[in-house]
Amino acid sequence: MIRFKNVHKTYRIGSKEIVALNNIDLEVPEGSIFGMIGASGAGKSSLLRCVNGLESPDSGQVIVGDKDINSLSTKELRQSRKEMGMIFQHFNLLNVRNVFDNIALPLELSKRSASDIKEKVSPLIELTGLKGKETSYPNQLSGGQKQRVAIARALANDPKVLLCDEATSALDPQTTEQILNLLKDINKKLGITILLITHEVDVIKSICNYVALLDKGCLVETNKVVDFFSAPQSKLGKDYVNSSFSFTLPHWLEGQVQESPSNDHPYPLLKISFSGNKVNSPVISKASREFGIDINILLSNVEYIGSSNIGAMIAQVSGDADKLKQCLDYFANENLSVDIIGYVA
Amino acid sequence: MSLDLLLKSCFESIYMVFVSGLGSCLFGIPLGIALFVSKKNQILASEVRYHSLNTLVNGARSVPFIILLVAIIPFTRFVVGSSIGTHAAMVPLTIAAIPFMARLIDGVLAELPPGLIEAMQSMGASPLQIITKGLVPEALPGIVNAITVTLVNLIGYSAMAGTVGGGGLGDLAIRYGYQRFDGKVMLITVLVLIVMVQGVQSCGDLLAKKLRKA
Repeated sequence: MIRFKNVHKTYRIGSKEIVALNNIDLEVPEGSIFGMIGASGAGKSSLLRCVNGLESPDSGQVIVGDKDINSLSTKELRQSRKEMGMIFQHFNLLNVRNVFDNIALPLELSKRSASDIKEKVSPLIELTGLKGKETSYPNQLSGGQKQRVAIARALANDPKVLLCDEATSALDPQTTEQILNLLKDINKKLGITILLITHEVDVIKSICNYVALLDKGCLVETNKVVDFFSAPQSKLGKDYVNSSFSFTLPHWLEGQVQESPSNDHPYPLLKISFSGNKVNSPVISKASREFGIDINILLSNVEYIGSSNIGAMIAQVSGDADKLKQCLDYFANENLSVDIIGYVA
Repeated sequence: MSLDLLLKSCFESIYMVFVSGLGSCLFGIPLGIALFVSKKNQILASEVRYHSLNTLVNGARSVPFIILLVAIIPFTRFVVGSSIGTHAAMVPLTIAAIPFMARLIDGVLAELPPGLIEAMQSMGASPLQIITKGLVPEALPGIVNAITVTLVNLIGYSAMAGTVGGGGLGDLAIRYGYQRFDGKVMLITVLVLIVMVQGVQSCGDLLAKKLRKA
């Protein structure tokens, strides 16, 4: 659907040359929700803007559908922009237009008739949950509502692609979740390809199918989201995944962990990781029952991404040494990866 | 001094300000927009156009009004056929107000959030559509403020125009108040001018507030 071929771009600030995009090669599958993540200045924003020609690369191609965006004439570019919607961090609504007229704007630009516009806008208001707000002005709306208007506006021309530029970065966590759910819904109902950029790994985790990691203009990793969270391929990827599943030991425990077992610290502290494979049986209670050991779960952070569980738990296991050994073997057989963090009393 | 004379002067002042205000809107607003969109990284960026317009605006603005008044007398005579009187005063007033207005409009447009233009571009809007459907409507409250400031300035300038026989309240104040040492006339004209300025400013503020939805 969207294909970046050796996209390269440099900026010049004074006498310094900064590589914004370093030979990016990337394919965004049709109908997917594709997330690009990176710190600010990583180049994700430039890359996104190359898709609708708001920026153009120095070399390389950006192909959307069957069009090479940079070879289009100004007029053709405008036409193909109408086939892509875009939403922004700061919504960019027109303050002197009410909700209805904001959503109608792209249709007005295409010189559609008033009855056409009405027919088109009403279902969008319904879809984005803005019923009753048609005549409100942006200044009377909350951040979440503004982004809903922006989404409806972006969908007005029946685009095949929706570009999201940090669409939830200015919103609080609850609103972020609602907007993400709306985007997911739209992707499912309308089959639109969504290309989003974010610096929040949680956004990737909650709605994306694919992820691309950018760092200083370079593509560091591209992966399916499920694989990314279970087995990130890059150092940066690992950092993102770890930051998403935080495993800080509780304070009271920190001083009590020893590296090797001793008489007064005999019991292992385990980190049991679920890495995307299916865990069907209740392994913890089974182990406890079968081996007669106590498993004390201190910390657990397991989530579903797609249909697999990903995450880990930290548990203290106590019982006699033989049984502990058997238990570890059992976990290994169940495809869980188990690390011994240390030993506790 | 009779009330008739005061009313006549008032009318002349209002007439001068109104016509030159209209002229400055007609030419100054498009000039301001042209200035803004020609800037670097703008929708119709053109270095040549920007620098010529910018020089023109700066040049015109750097001439003090009282000098402009006399410097363009030949032009004024060409346009209205005379270099004295209320009509003659309108020409330099308009000429002075156009670049002033243009500069204010440029400032108003520069204050708009940059995302607005980007959003409209992303919808496939043409530069003309960005101006007519985006920039101007969004900047309208600011444009009204700019018009208000220009009108207030024109009221001040129109008093100066009185010195070249332009008529109006300035003329009245100079001839009756100053040259005939009539303190009462001076006081009354000053009061009327204050009321006019206040009136224009309040109307402008009210309108701008109304346009600034919610």
